[in-house]
Amino acid sequence: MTALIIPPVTADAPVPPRAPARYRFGAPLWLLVLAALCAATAAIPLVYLVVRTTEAGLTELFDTLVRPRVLQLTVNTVLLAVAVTLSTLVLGTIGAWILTRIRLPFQRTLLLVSALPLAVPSYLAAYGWLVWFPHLHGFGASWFVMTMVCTPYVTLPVAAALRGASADLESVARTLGRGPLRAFVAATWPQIRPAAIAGALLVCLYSLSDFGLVSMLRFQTLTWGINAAYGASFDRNQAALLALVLVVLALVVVAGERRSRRQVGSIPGRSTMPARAPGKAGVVYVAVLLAAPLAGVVVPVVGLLSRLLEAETLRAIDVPRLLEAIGATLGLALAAAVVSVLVALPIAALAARYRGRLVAVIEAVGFLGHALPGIVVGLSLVFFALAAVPMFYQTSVVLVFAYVVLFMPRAIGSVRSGIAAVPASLSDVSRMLGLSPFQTWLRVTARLALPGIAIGALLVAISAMKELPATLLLRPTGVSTLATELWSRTALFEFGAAAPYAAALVLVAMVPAVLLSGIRGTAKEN
Amino acid sequence: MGWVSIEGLRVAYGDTRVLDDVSLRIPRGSLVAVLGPSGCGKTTLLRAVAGLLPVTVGTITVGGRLVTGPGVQRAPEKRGMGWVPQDASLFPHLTVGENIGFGLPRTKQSDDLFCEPSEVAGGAAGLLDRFTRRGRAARARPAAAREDGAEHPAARAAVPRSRENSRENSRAGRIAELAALVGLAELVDRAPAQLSGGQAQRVSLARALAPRPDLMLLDEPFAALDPLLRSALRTEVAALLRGAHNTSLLVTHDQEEALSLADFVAVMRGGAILQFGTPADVYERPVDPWVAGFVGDTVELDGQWHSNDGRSGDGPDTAGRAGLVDCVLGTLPADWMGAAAAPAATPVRVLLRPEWLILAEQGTPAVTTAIAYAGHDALVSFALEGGIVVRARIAAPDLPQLGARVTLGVRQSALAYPI
Repeated sequence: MTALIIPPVTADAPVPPRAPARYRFGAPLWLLVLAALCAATAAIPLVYLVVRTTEAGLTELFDTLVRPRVLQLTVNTVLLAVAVTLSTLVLGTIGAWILTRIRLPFQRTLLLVSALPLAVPSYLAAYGWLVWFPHLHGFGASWFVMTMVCTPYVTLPVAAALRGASADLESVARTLGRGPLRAFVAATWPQIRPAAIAGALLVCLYSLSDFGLVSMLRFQTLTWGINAAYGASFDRNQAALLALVLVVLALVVVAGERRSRRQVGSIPGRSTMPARAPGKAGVVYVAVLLAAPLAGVVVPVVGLLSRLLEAETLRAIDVPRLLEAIGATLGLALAAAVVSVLVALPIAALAARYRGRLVAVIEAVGFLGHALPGIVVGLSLVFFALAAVPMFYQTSVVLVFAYVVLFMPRAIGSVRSGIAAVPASLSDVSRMLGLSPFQTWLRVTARLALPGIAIGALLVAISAMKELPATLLLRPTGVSTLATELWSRTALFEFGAAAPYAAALVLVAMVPAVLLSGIRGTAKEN
Repeated sequence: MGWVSIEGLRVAYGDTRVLDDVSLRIPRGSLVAVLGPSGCGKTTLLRAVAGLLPVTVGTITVGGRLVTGPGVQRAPEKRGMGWVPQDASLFPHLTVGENIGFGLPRTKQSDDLFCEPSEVAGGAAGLLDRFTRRGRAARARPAAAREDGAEHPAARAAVPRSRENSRENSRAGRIAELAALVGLAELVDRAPAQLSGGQAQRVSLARALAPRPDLMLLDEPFAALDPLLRSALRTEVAALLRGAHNTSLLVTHDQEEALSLADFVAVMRGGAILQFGTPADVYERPVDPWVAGFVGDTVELDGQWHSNDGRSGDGPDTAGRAGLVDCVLGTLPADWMGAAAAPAATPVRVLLRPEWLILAEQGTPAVTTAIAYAGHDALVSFALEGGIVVRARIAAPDLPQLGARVTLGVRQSALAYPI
C-alpha cells in the first residue's frame, strides 16, 4: 500500500477566522463590583416597593387586592393593553407588508413618515385630539389614540423582518396551490412572527405603563389609580399596592418579549420579493399606511398650532413662566443624561467585553428600568426618599435619580454597542505599548466609543424631557417642566394656555434629535 | 542559552487544556516561528507570553527577568514586549505618526511618572535614562552589550546610537526614524484608513518597535494580506527584525513562511510542541509523519527495516540510526527515526520528499501518469508496478512526456518511522 499525502495546510490555505472581539477570560473584579453597584441602583425602586407593600402584612395585602376598585382598575388596564396590542399588531403588520411588498412612490419618505408617531409623547397626542374634540374620553378614545401612537413599534420591526425574510418560500407555496393570503400565512408569517410579537409586546408594555394619555382621556387604569390614591394622601398603602400589581403585569410582558426576541432565526434564500405595482388599490394602501401618522401626529400638531396661533393664546403667554419651564426641562434632562451615561458605562463595558452568568445578571438588572412604569418608579422613590434620605425628598436629586433608573437601559444599549464596535485587539496593542488598563480605556476604548456614548446621552435626554408621571410625583416644589405644565393645564381644560408648553416641548425635544441624527451620520462615515 | 525561556507552560480554559506543558527557549537576536494548524494553541502561547491571558502553571523569563511564574503575573504594559497583531489594529483616530509614537512617552514629566524610583537614579546615567523610554532601554541594553557584545558588534554599536537619539530627546525623531525604516516616511500624516493592507502592517511593526522592546511578538502578521504582497513583505520584515537584532517570536500556520523566515521553527499540535529545530531540521528530519506532512509534501510507502550491517554511521548524529529499507522503490539507504533502536525485519513507514526522487539511469521502472505543472518545476505522478503511485518534484527541463516509461532513483537517505 502506498499513501500519497497531501499536506493539510499549504501556503494558500484559508485564513483562520479572526478571534472574536470578546475576551475569553473572566472580567476583572473591580469592574464586576463597580458594574454590580451601578446596576443595583436600578433595582432600588422595585426592591423598596416590594418591601413597602409586604410590610403591611399579607392578609391586608390580599384584602386590598380583592377590593372591587382594585379589580376594576386592573381589568381596565389589561383590557386597554390587550386591545391596543391587537389593533397595532394588525395595523402594523399590514403597514409593514405595504411598505415592503408594494411599489409605492417615495418609499423612503413613507418609511420615515410611518415612524413619526414615535416622536410624539402619548399625552401630547391626547392633548391634540382634545383640542378638536373636548368631550373625547373613556375606553374607545384611549384605545384609538394609543393605537395610533404605538403602531410604529410593530410596523418598523416587521418591515425589517419582511425585508430579511426569504420570499422563495412564499413563491413555492403559491406554486403548490395556495392563494396569496394563505401562502403568506403559511410561508412568510412564521418568519416575521418573532419580530411582530416582540413589537406587539413592546406596545403592550407601553400601554400598561402609560399615564398621561389615559389620565387626559379620563380612562381609569392602574397608573391613573396610583396617581389618584397618592394624591389622596391618606391611602398611600393602596397606591403602593396598585403599583405592585402594575409591576407584576409589566414584568410578565417583558419576560415574554425577551423570550420572543431570542427566537429570531433566518432562513436562507432571496430576500426580495419582486415588488408589485399598486394599481388601482394604491390609494387604499397609502391611506392605510398614513392612518397612524395622520391620527398620531398631524391631527394633534395641527390642533396644537391652531390653538397656539389664536390671538387670545398669544396674548396670554406667560413668558417668564414658559422660559422657566424650558430651563427646568433642559437642566433636568442634561443632568439625567450625564448621570445615566456615567452609571451605564461600567455595565456597558462589562457586557460588551465579557460574558458569563454573572455578567448577564448584572446587565439584566441594569435593564430593569425598561420594565418599570414611570409612575411606579416615581411612587417608590417618594417612599424611599422619605424613609432613607429625607434631605433629598422633593429635590432634583431624587427626580434625576428616577430618570436614571428609567432610562439607563437606553444608555446601556448604545454605549455597549459603541464599546463592542472597538476591536479588543486595539486594547491589547495599547497594553503592549505600555499603557495601563485605565489609560487604555481613556485613550483608546472610550475615545473610539465616544459616538455611542453621546448617542446614549442624547437618547436619555430626549426621554427625560418627555417623561411625565415620575416628574409629577417627584418634582421639587415650585419647579415645573414643560410636560407637567402641559398636563396640569390640559387637566383643567385650559387647552389654549397649554398650547405654548406643548409647542415648546416639541421644539426642545427636537434639539437632541437633530444632534442625534448628526452623530449617527458621522459615525456611519467613520 | 536562552534570552527568552518558557518552561512548563500550561493554559486551561475551564477543563480544556489549550497549552500543555510547553517549553521553549529563544536565543537572543533570533527569530523563532511557532508553526501549527488552526486551533493548535499557538496564538494562546503568544498571548500568554504577552501577559494578555493568565497562565495556569509555568514560568516565562525574558532576559533574566521573571514575567510569569508562581505568584508572578506581570501586566502586559510592564513586560517590555512588542505586539504585532494579525490585522495591524492601528488606532483609527490617530495618524500614522501618532500610531508609531503611541508607546513613546509624550513629555519628560510623563516619562518620570513611568520610571520606577530605582531607575530614576542620580548622575549622568540617571539623567540619560529619564530621556529614554521609561527606563526600558536602560534596563535591557547595557546588560545586552555586556552579554552579547562579543558576538554582535552591531549590537554594541546600537548602544551609543540609541543614547544619541535619546540625548536629542526626540520623540518626533524616533517616529521619523521608524517611519523611514519601514519605508513610509512620507505617510506619517495620513489616517490609517488611507493605507493599504501592507502599509498598515508596516506601521503596526514600526509602532511595536518604537519603544525598543526586549521581545517582539508577531501573531500571523501576514495572514490577512494577499499572497503576492505577503511573500514580499515577510522577507522585508524578517530583514528589519534581524537588522535591529530583535528577538522575535512569530506565530503562523503557513509552513513556507515559517521555513523561509525563521532561525528556528517550533511545530505545534494539540497544545504541545512536537519538534523544535532549524528549518532544515524540521523539513529534512521531521520527528514523525504528521510533522513531515504538515511542513511539506511527502511520499509515504510501506517498507521493511534492515539493521545496518556493514555500513557505519555517516556522522555522530546518525550513528546507529543508518540502515536499509526494502520498499517498492527497491532497497534504499534510510535513517531510523524511532525512539528505541529498531530490530531487523520490522515493518516500517518509509517517508521521502518528492524532490528526493529523480529520473535515473538505473532504478525502479515507472510510467508517467499525471503532471501538475508549476513553471519552474512540476509535481509528476508515476505509477509503479502493482499500481502504486508516487509523486516526484521534477525540474522543468527534465520533465517526461505523459505516458513515458522512466526509471526512478532516490538521491537522499529515506526516513523510516515505526508504524
